[in-house]
Amino acid sequence: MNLLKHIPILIFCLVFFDSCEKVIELDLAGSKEAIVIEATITNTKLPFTVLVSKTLPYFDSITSNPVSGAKVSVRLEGGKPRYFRETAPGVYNLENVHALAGYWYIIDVEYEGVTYSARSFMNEVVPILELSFSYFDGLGFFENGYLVLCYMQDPGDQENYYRLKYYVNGIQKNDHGKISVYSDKLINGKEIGLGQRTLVFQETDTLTIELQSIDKAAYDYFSTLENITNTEWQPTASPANPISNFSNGALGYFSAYSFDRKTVVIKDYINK
Amino acid sequence: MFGCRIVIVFSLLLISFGTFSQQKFTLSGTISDVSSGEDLAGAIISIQNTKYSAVCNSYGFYSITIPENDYSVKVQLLSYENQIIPIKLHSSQIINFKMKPISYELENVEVKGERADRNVTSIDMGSVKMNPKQIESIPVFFGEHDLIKTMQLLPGIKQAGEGNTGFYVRGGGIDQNLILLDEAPVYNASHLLGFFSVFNSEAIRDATLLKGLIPVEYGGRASSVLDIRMKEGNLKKYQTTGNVGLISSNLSFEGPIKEDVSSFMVSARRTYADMFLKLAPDKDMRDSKLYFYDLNLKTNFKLNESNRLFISGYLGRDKFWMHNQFGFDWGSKTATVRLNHTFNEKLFSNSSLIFSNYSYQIDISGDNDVLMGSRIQDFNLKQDYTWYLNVRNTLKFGADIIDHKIVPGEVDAAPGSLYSSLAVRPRRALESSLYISNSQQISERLHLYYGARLALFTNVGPGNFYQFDADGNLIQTTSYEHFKMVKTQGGPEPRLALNYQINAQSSVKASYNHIYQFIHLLSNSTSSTPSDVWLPSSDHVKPQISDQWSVGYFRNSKENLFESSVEVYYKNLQNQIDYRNGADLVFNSTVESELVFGRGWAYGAEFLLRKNYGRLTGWLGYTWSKTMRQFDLINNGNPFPARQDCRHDISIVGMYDLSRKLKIAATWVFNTGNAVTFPNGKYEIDGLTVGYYTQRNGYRMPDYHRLDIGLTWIRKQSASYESSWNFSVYNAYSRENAYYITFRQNKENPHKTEAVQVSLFKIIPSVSYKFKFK
Repeated sequence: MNLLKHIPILIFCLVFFDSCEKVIELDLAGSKEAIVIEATITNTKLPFTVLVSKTLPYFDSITSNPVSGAKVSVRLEGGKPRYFRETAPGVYNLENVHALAGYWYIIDVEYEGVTYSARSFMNEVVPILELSFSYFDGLGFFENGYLVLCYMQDPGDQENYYRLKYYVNGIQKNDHGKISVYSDKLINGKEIGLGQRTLVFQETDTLTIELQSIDKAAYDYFSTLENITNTEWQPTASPANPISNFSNGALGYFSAYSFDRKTVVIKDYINK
Repeated sequence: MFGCRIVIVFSLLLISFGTFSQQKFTLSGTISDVSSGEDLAGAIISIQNTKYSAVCNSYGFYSITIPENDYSVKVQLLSYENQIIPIKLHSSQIINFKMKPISYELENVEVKGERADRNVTSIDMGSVKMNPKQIESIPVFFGEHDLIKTMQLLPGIKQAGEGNTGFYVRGGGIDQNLILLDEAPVYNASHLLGFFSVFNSEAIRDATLLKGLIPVEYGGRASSVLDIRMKEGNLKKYQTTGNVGLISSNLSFEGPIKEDVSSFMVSARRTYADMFLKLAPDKDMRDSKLYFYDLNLKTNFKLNESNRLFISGYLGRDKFWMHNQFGFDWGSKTATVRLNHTFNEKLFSNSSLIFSNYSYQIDISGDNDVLMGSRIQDFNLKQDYTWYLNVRNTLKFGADIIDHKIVPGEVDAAPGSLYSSLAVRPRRALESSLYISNSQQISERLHLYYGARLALFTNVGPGNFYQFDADGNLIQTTSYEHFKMVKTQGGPEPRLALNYQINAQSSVKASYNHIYQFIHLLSNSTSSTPSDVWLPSSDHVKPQISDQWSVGYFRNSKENLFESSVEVYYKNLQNQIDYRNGADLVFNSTVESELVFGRGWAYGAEFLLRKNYGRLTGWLGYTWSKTMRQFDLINNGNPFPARQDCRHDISIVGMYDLSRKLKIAATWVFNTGNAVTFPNGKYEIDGLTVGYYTQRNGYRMPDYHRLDIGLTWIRKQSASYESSWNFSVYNAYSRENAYYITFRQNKENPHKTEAVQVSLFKIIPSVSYKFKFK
């Protein structure tokens, strides 16, 4: 469905092979700095991590502007806060915790007198049933390689949202700004394979797939984020900041999610 | 109540200005082309040495009531030789004029005092008329002559850009233009994303764009009306015309069914862009489809002296299908049945039954497993009367009702598919209107047009109707049964215009329109994809309202050799629609909750200088304009420029006859860039660099300019056969005009961000061959 808005440039390139691109110099006005918070908690025993930073001028050569000295805490609704420790500039960790599915969690980040809060619901894990690979011959500018589908059984009695993350040889595959989030609107209660139609992997890759079960706020955040990060083709007409679940104008998101992972070496898997 | 008042005002005006001192008779009839029998619209009938004149309607019918006397009657129409005949008017008479097209021999003769002066004398204001003959040599994209694209070279009309469908008129949105093909509305007038319009020039007789005064018989769109009429078909002899181009070809066939009584016209066009795909190295590419086609049909019958029946139809489709990837197709079907009836020499009636359907379908996996579709379908019944009351007054009145059925989206999954079908209930509505107007010559110099249209829109069951709170949360869903009228909106729309003739060479004109628009196009992408959604007004979505005032000064010089005008306008738009961030517009039964509402305003000045006669013809147009929007929920409530805000727009068009067989034409266009949203900062999320946006439409795209040149070489021209070659170059100096600008991480160094400009075209030469069997 995301491909829909890129149809015009796709048709065009297909027919005319004539379009051209070039890097240009642009003057962008700066803006007041805004706070960016990336907070995630999972259903495993791994530590929770919250990243706090500020925005930078667009063409600045440095990429991160970490914020130190913020007070970061997590709590259950109506519960006592547990405070995070800053382990590196802008990186706040909380160890020895275990979050359970089925509850609302709240994150509070206090910095320079303002408290930014967000809440997220952790859904039960939806396990990966199996992975299937198919070879794609490539078409024009779409590369050739293996497409992967991740099969799972969508619970029919609730609204579910998913995110797929791909790691190749340990590194997250993030190119072209594609974000794979799905809602169960058309697939409620079905056993179905989720996957990106244009993301391909090579035979020799060690692929790890992570199927996250997220809540609606995280789904809204990532789908609106993809509108502005998936810039391989034409940009959207009115780009806007993604819908954040943080209060007081903080950019970023808080997602409490459960996940299942599967790691395969592709050439072994397809020869089975 | 409103209706009563209107009738009283009308009667008083008529009584006070009518002068009935002498016996009067009516001269009426039809004006047609002598060689084909086609009706000619807009010809001027004037009585020599008097101030009496009339214009014929789009069916070629005219009627003029003047005192008993002997007169010399002159008929004039651009591209045709003038006719002057003496008449003795001692009783009402029917005289049909057969006009001869200007032949090449006469073109070099500057016939003084005989040129049309409509620029100065007509009550039309802000109206642009074009016919295929006038634009035959103007080069357009890929050598395709496109009437609609050429119209966009006149001031006040801005193309949405390369690769974009639609156009903007005086700062209004793309959906604010009513496009009619033989009275049937066309919801998407583009092929291949706006490179070609769906109107095959071979099938068209003429087209009129109204952007100033919009007469009462038109309504439903806030900014303009593009009224396109198909050719009827040669009543005298058979003709075959063909055009073979690099990217598409067309073939037309027309002729009499019964000579001088009935005729037909068939015209078809198809691209073969997919032929190039067959040469591709991989199989999936070879199996892919990419084409569009158009089919126009028309037939007409002179049933008897006072009745004429017309039947027209259009069918067109675009198809793009990438094997096993995805596919989509879209297109329109229209059909019109019209009956012209002349009750007597003063009362002309037109009754129409119209059908229009626009639909699109998306195949999300390119294998027909799951098809998502949407459509809008109209049935329209119209009754229109023109009453040529006397030489000073022409009354028009009528009624119109349209039944709309909109299916915003449904998913049709094949049996055994992994996906489930999903149907969003269709929305139904009735758009109805009553109108009356009078075009009155108040005095020798002052001509007034006044009228009103009562436009109403009623949501009708069956269906679900939703109520939302200010944040877009659904409060209530009410279900209605078949034919239940749920809500009616709308009201009276006054339309006024005046023409004050200062002298024979110049005049001042002014106009005012108040218009409701009940159907809205929701589109969230830079270029209109066919997945745009049409939405009817409802409880939550109020009708758009447009108020436009315009004033202009019109002047002809060197005995009508040059026409010039300056027009200024101000337009106020209410209930404009925009979207919440991340709006889900497709397949969403509560799509109304994704909308936000605000207002818009636009103003500008349009300058035009035109030369219609001689070896060198063409025009120079310049528009200065500004169009702004303000929404409480967007851009923190601060006004921002609309995407189509374009400060300067220049077009220069020139056509020169090098010789009888060689014509050259060139167009140069320039416009400052559209308003666009760029980031003002950046940050990182999940390893990706993300832009930080603080200002909507705070930046501009780079200036756009382009030169196109075309050469037409008439190879053979005899009584029975004509052929010509056309060579053209699009974007002659190969400027890389920006199609879009995107921001991304540098591929080699992900820590660096860069701005990238993508352009569609460099220089594109093309050649086409045209033949005609007469």
